[in-house]
Amino acid sequence: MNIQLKKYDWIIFLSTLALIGMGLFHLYTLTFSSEIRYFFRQIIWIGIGMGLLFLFSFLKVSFWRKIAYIFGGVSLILLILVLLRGRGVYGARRWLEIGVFSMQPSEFAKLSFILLVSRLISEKNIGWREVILSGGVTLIFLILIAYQPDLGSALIFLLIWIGMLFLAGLSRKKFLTLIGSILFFLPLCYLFLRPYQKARILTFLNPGRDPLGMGWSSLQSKITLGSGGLIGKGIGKGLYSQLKFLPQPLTDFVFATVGEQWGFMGALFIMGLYFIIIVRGLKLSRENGPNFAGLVTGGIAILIFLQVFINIGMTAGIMPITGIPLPLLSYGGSSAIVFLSEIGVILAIRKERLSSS
Amino acid sequence: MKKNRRIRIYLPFILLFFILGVIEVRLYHLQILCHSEFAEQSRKEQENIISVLPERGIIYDRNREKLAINIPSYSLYASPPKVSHPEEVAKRLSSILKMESSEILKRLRKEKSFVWIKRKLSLAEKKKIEEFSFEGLGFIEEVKRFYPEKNLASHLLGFVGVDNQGLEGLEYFYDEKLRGKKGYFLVEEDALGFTVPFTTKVIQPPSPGKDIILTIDARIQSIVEEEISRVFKLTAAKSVEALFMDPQTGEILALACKPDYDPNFFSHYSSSVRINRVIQSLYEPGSTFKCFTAAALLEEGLVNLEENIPCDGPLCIADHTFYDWKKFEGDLSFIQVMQDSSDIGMIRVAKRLNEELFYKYIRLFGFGRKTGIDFPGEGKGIVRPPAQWSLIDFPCISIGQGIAVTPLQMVTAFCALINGGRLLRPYLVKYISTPEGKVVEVNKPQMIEKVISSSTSQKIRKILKEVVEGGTGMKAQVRGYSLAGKTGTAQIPASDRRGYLPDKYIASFIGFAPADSPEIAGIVIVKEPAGVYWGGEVAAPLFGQILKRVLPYLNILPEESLLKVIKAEYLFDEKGEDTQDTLLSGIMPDLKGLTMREALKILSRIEDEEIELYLSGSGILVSQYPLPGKKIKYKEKIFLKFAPP
Repeated sequence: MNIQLKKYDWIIFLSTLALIGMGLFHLYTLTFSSEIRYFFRQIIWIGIGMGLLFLFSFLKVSFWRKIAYIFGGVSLILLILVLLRGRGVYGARRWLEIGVFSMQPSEFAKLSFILLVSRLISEKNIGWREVILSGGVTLIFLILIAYQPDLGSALIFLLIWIGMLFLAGLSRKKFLTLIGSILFFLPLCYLFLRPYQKARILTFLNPGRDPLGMGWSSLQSKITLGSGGLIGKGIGKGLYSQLKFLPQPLTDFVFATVGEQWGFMGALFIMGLYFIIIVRGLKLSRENGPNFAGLVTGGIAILIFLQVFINIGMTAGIMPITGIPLPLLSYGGSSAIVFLSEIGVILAIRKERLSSS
Repeated sequence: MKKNRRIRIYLPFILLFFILGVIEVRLYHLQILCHSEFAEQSRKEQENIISVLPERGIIYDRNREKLAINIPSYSLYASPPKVSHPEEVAKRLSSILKMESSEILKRLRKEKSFVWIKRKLSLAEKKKIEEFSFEGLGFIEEVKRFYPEKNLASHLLGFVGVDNQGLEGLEYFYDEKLRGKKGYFLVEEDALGFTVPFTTKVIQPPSPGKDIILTIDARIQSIVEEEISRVFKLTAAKSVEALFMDPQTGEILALACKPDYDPNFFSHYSSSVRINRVIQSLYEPGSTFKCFTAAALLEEGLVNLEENIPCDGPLCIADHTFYDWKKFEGDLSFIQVMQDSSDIGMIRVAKRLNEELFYKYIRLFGFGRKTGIDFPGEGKGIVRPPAQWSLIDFPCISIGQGIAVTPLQMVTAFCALINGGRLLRPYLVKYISTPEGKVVEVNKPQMIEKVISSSTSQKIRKILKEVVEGGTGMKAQVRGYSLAGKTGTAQIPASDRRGYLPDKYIASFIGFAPADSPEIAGIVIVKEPAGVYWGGEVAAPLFGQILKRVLPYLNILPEESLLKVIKAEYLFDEKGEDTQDTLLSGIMPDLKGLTMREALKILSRIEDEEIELYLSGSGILVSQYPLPGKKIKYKEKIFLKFAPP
């Protein structure tokens, strides 16, 4: 046990704990006056997530490799189920109810997707065959999620796939050809967007377009962030977010409230923690090389990076508004549990690598 | 190859640093560089300045009867984020409020924390909505303008919009005074529009508007309205207008138009109904205008009252032939020319004035310029200078055709004719006071010009008295009173061509009473009556009817000859009609010896609201107050004592 613990990546683990602490404390400051139940629920989710983190960190890489197809298959079934009988929030069907709980299959699909693609492209030297095979799988995920519709998540799947192909060592020529053809087809997708999605993109390009309508969220988020200043208004003084000017201060726009209460320094600190986890993940991936373990670690690092970048970018008004949560800071069970599971997987891979070397 | 591998290893890290760097720079920009701007904005959005509408000033008549007041009213608003089933709510509301449900739904879908659904609901609407108790809907108490007398003086009062802003009439003209000053409160509000407790700061309390007290007498106004609306229906006229003024001061006592409207529901009426035709519309006055021609002639000494004027017709001037309304043989005295309203006679005398002189007098009396009344949108009239006159314009204008005036101009000028020559500025507001009753502004009679000498004025009064005593105005006579005035039957110019509309006339009567010392002057105009259209037949009796009721109210008593006290025993005989007249002129009859039932039957001819009856005892009447022959004052208490015979 002692030896096992020594092989833990304590830097990632402690950063994660710090994020959990910050997330819970911050949630408490936002909810203690009126909606404390959110805080207690989040504690339960974090508890479940930590359990999974420990469980997963003791599983062997070969197990993940074996189970990748099954995991992927289950995720696809869940994604189809959510389309058939999911619960809608804001016009999108993203939630699946299981007993008293409800979950977001698209969150769980992220991890299984990474496992599945890693399995598919780590078999042998990567060529067009692997690209097309994994591309087909990506397309199925992408369509199912885009159909919910959850455009932000769908885009994340596409970017993870591209990133993993890069990490898997796809030759430069093939890689650039692939990017080129995707960029060529991407504008066509705009035609298939729903009106509110088009509006979001237009509003992003010109936030003043409709300051009381679509642009409101974006503008309020910037005001919230900006009013924090260097050191913030202080704990529990996030008047602006508590007064409900900011839409969804607990989930999508949580980072704005971080910026309001903790200021620029707090925002830097949070970003620093994510940065550590991402860099450690990428480093571990590089050490492993383009095998299954390396690709899984790389995929997870890319996923975390994209979530952080898209969410904070949206809050700061440099990305369009999408419903991508900020891992561990946004209130939400699925997102927290899946994030902690991912950390668990990274810890397992790191442990096994240290054991083998 | 080795270099390629190195790029592959470092590229992800470089990308990561770069992108996270971009975000850091952006955060630095927002949080450090733009901090003060956003901080200010955040403070502003939290601190909402709420404006509170002040209480609008009350409009009173000259006796402090309320004509426009404020009543509490409720406005329905919604907080769209809190409305859970907008479609259902919209459907329900649309049936209660009689609004399009799509319109309500549009408002409920707005991404705002506060939207009005409907302002100033009726209490029934409010009750129904409260029964459903929808979430996210609420009421805010606002004050609503209310006109308790409904149609009374509607054309004068005008009305206000949903924010209590004056839109027409006196409400518009005196808006600044009536409106008061908005109050401002500073409140911290959350985005859903809920006030954060204990954060309200008063920046400026609202100060209520000023009250205005009109020159209008609601009592006279309602008599005038009753009478003109009776004639309006009776003659099936297109419209009827009336204006009464105090000729000594220029105070307007009553001003009415039919058809009229209820300012509480002004939007149900077209603007053609809402226009104040007395002040804002023009008409050709016809023979009533001869008073002014006569005054000019008398003032210039160009005619004598008894002078004989040849009135045989017809009279041809240029290509036009003038006829009189009936054929006169030979000469008439100047008084008779006026009495019988001979156009030909008047045209012949008028020629003694030259065009310039006549025009000078017309302008002097105030035609072709505004009277300066305190009312919006006053008409100026159309008076062309002599340079633009054709050969027949001079004769036409001398008999009141080919000139366009407002009824207000007519009466204003007429007052100058009969009050000794002083042209006064007519006005509607006597004074303005604070809600506590402190007078802050007083409108006083204001003489604009002395237009004729008092001796000319006296001559005019004499002429006009003759018109009613033995001329075309005979039907204006009121028993016991001496009235004076002039009839008019004018043609209506066609709007699309030269000349006049066939078979369409304006019957009017302009007059005053008592004939020797004018206390009230006025005009009644019946436009396009069906059937009889002569001013003397249609307008004169209407004028008489009005004054018959108004004069007693003004405490102007009938001449002694009529002050006979009617004895109880005659009350039910064939002279019953006389009794009624006596009663309506406000003279208490002798009721002694009547039973209670009989006495009450007599007094029931007086409108209930005008007197208060106190009865005591039973049997037959033994004593009464007021005493027989005394005048019954308005709202007077009448005591009748009965005892067994």
